[in-house]
This record gives sequence, structure tokens and C-alpha cells, in this order.
Amino acid sequence: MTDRGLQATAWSYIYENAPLLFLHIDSRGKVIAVNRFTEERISGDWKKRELNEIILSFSGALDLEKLRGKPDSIHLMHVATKSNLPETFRVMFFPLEDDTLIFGSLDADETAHLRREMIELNNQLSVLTRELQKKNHELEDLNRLKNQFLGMAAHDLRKPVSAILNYAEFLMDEARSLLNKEHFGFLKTIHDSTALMRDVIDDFLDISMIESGCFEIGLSFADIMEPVEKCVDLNRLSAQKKGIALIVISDDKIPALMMDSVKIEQVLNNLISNAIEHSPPDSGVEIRLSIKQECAVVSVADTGPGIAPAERDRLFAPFTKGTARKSPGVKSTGLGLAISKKIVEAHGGRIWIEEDNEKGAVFAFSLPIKHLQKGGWK
Amino acid sequence: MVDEAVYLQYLSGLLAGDRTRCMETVSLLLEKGTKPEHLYTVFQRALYSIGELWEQNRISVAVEHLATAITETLLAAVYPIILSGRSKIDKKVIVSCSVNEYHQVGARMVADIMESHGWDAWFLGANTPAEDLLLLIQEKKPDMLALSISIYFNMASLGKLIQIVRSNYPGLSIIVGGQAFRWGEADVIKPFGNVTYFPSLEKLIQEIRLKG
Repeated sequence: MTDRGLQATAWSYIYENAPLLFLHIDSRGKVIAVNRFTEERISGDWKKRELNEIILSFSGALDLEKLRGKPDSIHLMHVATKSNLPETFRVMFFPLEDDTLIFGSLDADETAHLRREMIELNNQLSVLTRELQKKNHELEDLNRLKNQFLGMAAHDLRKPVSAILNYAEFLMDEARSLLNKEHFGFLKTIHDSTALMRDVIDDFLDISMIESGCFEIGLSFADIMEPVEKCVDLNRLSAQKKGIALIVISDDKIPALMMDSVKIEQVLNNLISNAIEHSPPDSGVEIRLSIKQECAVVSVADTGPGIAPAERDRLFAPFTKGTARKSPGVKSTGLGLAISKKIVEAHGGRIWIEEDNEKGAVFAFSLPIKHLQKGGWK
Repeated sequence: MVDEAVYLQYLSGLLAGDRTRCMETVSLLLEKGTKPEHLYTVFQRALYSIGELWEQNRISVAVEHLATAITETLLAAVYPIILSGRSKIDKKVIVSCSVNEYHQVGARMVADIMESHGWDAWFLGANTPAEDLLLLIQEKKPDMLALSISIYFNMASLGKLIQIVRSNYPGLSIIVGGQAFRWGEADVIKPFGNVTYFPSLEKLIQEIRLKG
């Protein structure tokens, strides 16, 4: 092969096939040609741009005059690639009349080192992921056991506690005239404490059923006003004791909803009793019903201290209590809102705390309005 | 077992480095009720094929590494199914790679398969120093030690490792396997008693089933 032929073959290889960075820079410092590898590698348009416009950084001053004067020196040049990852090339600068030719190669040692590091990190990640998955599974097993235990204990306690409550009620009705004031006070404390204990046990039963996935609801069409009125009646006495007015406002005519009335009553009762507990004496609790976006929305607003923004999501988690002070003597398990959330979600609805409320807290929940259609429910 | 056409579809996805396609194939097989252990035999077969293609210089090392990384992702997706579907038995196994062995995916599959059959498995991963392995054996007192080796050149270090373990724990049952053994007989284990070579996951599964 002649010298000319050899040169042509070498140039052809460098331009078309070589995994080499190659840039031809004219006397004004503009890029006038690159090989295929460079074109496919570097991001953005290279044509007629200054060299410093297409590179990220350079080891030292990018003075072409000086660099082309030392063609045997190797420099590091960082280039922005199309994969958005910077790549480092070991480059050399050669003069070609007034122009400059730049040749660069990837640092093979660095690439090999990086590959090895990546493999090791990937291996470690895989081992750790596996351990994490195993620990998660063990935690799920423990949680299942906890729910089983909670459910069994609550179930076994409910019967004797109910018996104590029933007998205490019986004695309060039948033996009142036989007891002096102090002894009747003892009996009332037994009754009230047992009633609270039964509520706690009911919450434990509910939460263990919910968490073990055994929570079921029985849906049928019903008027939401029925549980609303029932809960208002149920809470009227405790509201009156604090001088709190329970106000029901219906902005829209709510059609019959597909719901489990007993469970929705439980949600309403929880929200209304919470509102009474947190309200100051001689104030009001407002229960408002409306229709928004194909859903019936029920909100319960109090004029208490309100809910701090950071607590809003946390309050619906089991065993969580807010920092807002309740009225003296009021106790809770911190399960009521968690249970309410699950009940509402099982209906395809949503429960939330209204933001931007100037005074007090507004808890609201929505239930989808389903229309009766031929062949099923819409 | 998995249909040949589905296997080839999976293999082509793996060769193309197409994680999504591989995940779709695996999801579809799981939806159809394919057992995780049958999926694992597919993973092993595909990786062995890719290993052979690499040895024949028909694919680059990058393709092989990407295929391994994809397989590890798939194993992470299937593993929770294994954990939730197993009944634990009172048996323990430690699974490890020998020193300098960086191919751990085979060992991981062995650990997962043992767990799917109720064993408690500790997976130590790649390039495990002998001292670390001995410490864990002392702590966990396993019924079995499983050692994996993919690169033939690591055969000598595997031999040394078996010798160290055997001298410390003469009664411990050891099993070995991995792609490195496909080059020939498992001569390295011949000097030792109670060391068994398993040429495939299927053979291991058969043995575990047989012995309960």
C-alpha cells in the first residue's frame, strides 16, 4: 500500500469507525469537523461553535496556541454527552497549518474501574434488597400475629365487660333508692369506666378486623339523614352539658346512597363526638350536607383549637392523637379516625380535614352517589 | 413448565437489554400461575445461554452485565411471592460465592429456591471472604452450605474454601454448582466427602423435594 493509500485508509477509519474523539478546529477556534464517534457522543450541535461551548471543563487553560505547541502532552477534557452524563477523555492537540486537530480517548482503566465498582455496588444492593424484603415479610407476619392477638383479646374481653356494664346499669336503675349518695357515685364510676372500656374494646376489634383484611360492609340504599339525625340525638346530651348547639344544615337534597348505615353512623358519631369534645363551652358544632362532584359530602365543624397542618395526615393513622386539648375527663384510644377512614374508603369515599379554616377544625367525608340503572349500578 | 416460545421471547428481551419486556413476560407467567421455581429455571437457562454467547465472543461483556442486572431486578420482584407462599421447615442453609467470584445471581437463585421449600437461607453474595463465611457458620449452625462459582478460573479458590470449611466443620453438608462446572467434571470436590455437585436448579429442586 502506498503512503497516500495508507493515509486515506487511516483517516477513513478515524472518521468512520474509531472509538476516538476527533475534532478539527479552525484558526478562529471554531469546530469545523468531527468524526462519527464524536458526533454520536457529544450533545448539541457542534457546527461552527467554539470549542469551549461544547466541552464541560478542561484541565488547565484552554489556550489552543499553547496546547498545539506541545502535541506530546495529554490533557483531561470533560464532554457533555447525549446520555446527559459527562465523560472524560484524555486528549492531545496537534497543529495542522493554522488549524488544530484534537484526538481523545476514553480512559480504559477508569472505565474498567467504574464497571467493577458498579458491579460490586449492584451486588451489594441486591443482597440488601433481599434482606429488606425478608425483614418486611417478617414484620408483616408479626403485624398479622399482633392483629390476631388484639382481635382475640378484645373478643374475649367484650363479653365480661358487657356483663359488668349491664349489671351496673341494672343496679343504677333498680338499687338507686337503697344506696347512699357516695355508694351511688361509686356505682356510676364503675358504669362510666366500663362503658369507656367497652368502647376501647370495640375500637380494638374494629382495627384488628380492618388490618387483617376481614372488615366487611353491607351496602344498601339508604337516606344519609337517618344516621345524621340518630347521631345528633345520641350526642345531644353531652353537647347540652357544655352548652354546645348541634346545628344540621343541608345545602342540597342528597339522594339515597349505597352505604352501610351502621358503619356510616359510626363515622358520624366519631366526628360529632370529637367536635363536641374539642369545642369550648357555649359554642356550636355545625353538621353540613352538600353535593360536590357526584359525591355526597358531610362536614363537621367545631370552634375548638383546630388542627396543626403537620398533624392533618397523621391523625388518620392508628393510635395517633392530636395535640389539641380535649375537654377534661375525655379519653380516647386514637383509633376513631383510623377506623372512620377505613369505613369511608370501603364505601369508595374519602375523608379529610379542611384546610384554610379560620377557626376550629372541619372534618369532612364524601360518599359517591350511585344511580340505579338498568342492568346494575352506575 | 414454561413454553419454549415464551422462553425465547424472554431471552430475546434479555439480550436486547429490554427490562420492561422481560418484566412483562415474567408478570404474564405469574398471572398464568407459573410457580416461582419454574421461573427461576427460565432465568438460569437464559443466563447460561448468555454466558455461552459471551464465551463465544458473540455478545459483549456489557450485554452480559445488563442481562444479570435485569435478572436481579426480576428476582427482587418474584422474591416476595416466594416468601408469602412458603411453609417454614426447621432447616438452615448458608449460600455464598467464593472469594473473587463476582457473579452472585446463581447463588441468589439457590437461596431463594431453598427458601421457597421452607428453608431459612442466608445469602452472603459475591466475593465472600472465608473468615466471614466461617463466622456465619459458627453463628447460624446451618444444616447445609451452598457454594456457587461461575468463572472456571475461580475453581482453585473454591477448592481452598471447601478445604477450610471442611477442616473447621467436618460434618457440614456442602453443595456446589454454577456455570463454571459446565466446562467439565467437578474434580475439585472429589477429595472431600459429603460435597455434592448440582448441575442445575431442577436437580436441586428434585433433591430438596426428595429429602423434604
